[in-house]
Amino acid sequence: MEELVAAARRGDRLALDQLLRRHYEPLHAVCRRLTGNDADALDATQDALLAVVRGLPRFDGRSRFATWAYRIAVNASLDEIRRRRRRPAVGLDAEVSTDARDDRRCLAPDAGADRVDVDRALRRLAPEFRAAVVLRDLCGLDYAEIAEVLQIPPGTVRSRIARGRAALVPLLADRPPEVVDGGGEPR
Amino acid sequence: MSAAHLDDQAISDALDGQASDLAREHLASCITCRGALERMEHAAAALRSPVPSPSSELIDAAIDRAVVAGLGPAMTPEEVAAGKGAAVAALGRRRRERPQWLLPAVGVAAAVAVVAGAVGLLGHGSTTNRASSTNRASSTNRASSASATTAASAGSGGGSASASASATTAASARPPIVEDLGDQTDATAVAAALRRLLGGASAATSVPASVATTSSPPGAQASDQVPCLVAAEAATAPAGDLLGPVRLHATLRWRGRPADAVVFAVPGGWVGVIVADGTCTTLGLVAR
Repeated sequence: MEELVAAARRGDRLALDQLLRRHYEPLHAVCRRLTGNDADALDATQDALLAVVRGLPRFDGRSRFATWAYRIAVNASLDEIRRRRRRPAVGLDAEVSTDARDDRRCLAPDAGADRVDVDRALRRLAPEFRAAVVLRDLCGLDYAEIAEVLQIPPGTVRSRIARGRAALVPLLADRPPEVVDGGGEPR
Repeated sequence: MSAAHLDDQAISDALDGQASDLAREHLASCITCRGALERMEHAAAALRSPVPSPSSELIDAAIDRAVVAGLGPAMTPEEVAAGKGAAVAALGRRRRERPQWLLPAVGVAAAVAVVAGAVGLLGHGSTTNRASSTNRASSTNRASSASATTAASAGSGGGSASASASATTAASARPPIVEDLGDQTDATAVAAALRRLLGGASAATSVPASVATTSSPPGAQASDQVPCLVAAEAATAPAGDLLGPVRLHATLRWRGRPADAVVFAVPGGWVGVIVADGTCTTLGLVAR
């Protein structure tokens, strides 16, 4: 990977192409989960690729290339979300909570209820919590890497992940079982 | 089993394999908390469900656009055969439509130009001796040593040159003051704080204008004490030969970022540069 990055920095067209191709899907996945819809995800991913290419001369190798690229993708997604908020809210792509049944109506039957539920649930989270949870549970980054991506202390990362996950639990659970063992207050 | 159940933070820590021993023990014996952990695991697993990838055409187009933005359009085989341009153009050397650093750089350059202009006016209003000293300093390469500068001054400057030499030595011997300015968001406030520090330290470190113009480069005096010195000097490049030694180094948090303020003497005043810790990026410029 380091050789590929170095070659891309030198202006090797093939290396740059390969580097972007290798990272496209993970970056798109982050953008997709953060923006919550395909169109914004494509825009954010494109912006992220452009920013990666333009920022490559300044990439100093102190962090992993993937971590650095994730940071760019998260920023591109947050920018896209901000732009979307400034646009008139039209249809289901708006950054508003919507009823799951309405979401499903606009998707082909084979699109999968899981995807709708995940998008709907993530939309309920503030973007900063969403980013922390997505980087941990989708990308598998550790707390230190997420702290680097989001430029916040690791303690804040840990707290955001916990609060974000806790908020997602009732939104993603299929009728969570009510468990009471008599040892304390029911959760 | 403890009556108090684990909170969301402890459950989340457990999910990441970072539960404390106490939490692990509690989980082993508490069905309620194990249920909470399972529900959180279920939510995390849902996030890991695959994200549908765009079509390969869309991916190709996106990557092509990014590559072209970085390297320009690919040459045709005919163009390559004809030897038109290099096949490889290093990223970052290409002319971009609108580099992100352009506006801040223009701002900094303009600010330094104003400082340099003010310095020039001050120098013009000074004595003939000072003016000639300034001219000598300008013609002396800043890379030359302080002793070489002093020797050049002594060759034509008489008494003022020897005074300059001794003052330069005194200034060089004193390390710049290190202070912490705390959290700062406003350049005016930073300027005021620096002015206060410099005022309080004037007896120790203030450098007369004639000395400032004949001293060795600041980097030669304090490079091992002041971080980002080269970058700070570069940020004041338009001041050129008028830049004197480092008068003060302060740490601060500039708009939340750890930073350093490096203050150089210039004839009749000083110029301070705020640089980011680590990257040494110029964040601001203040002057008196």
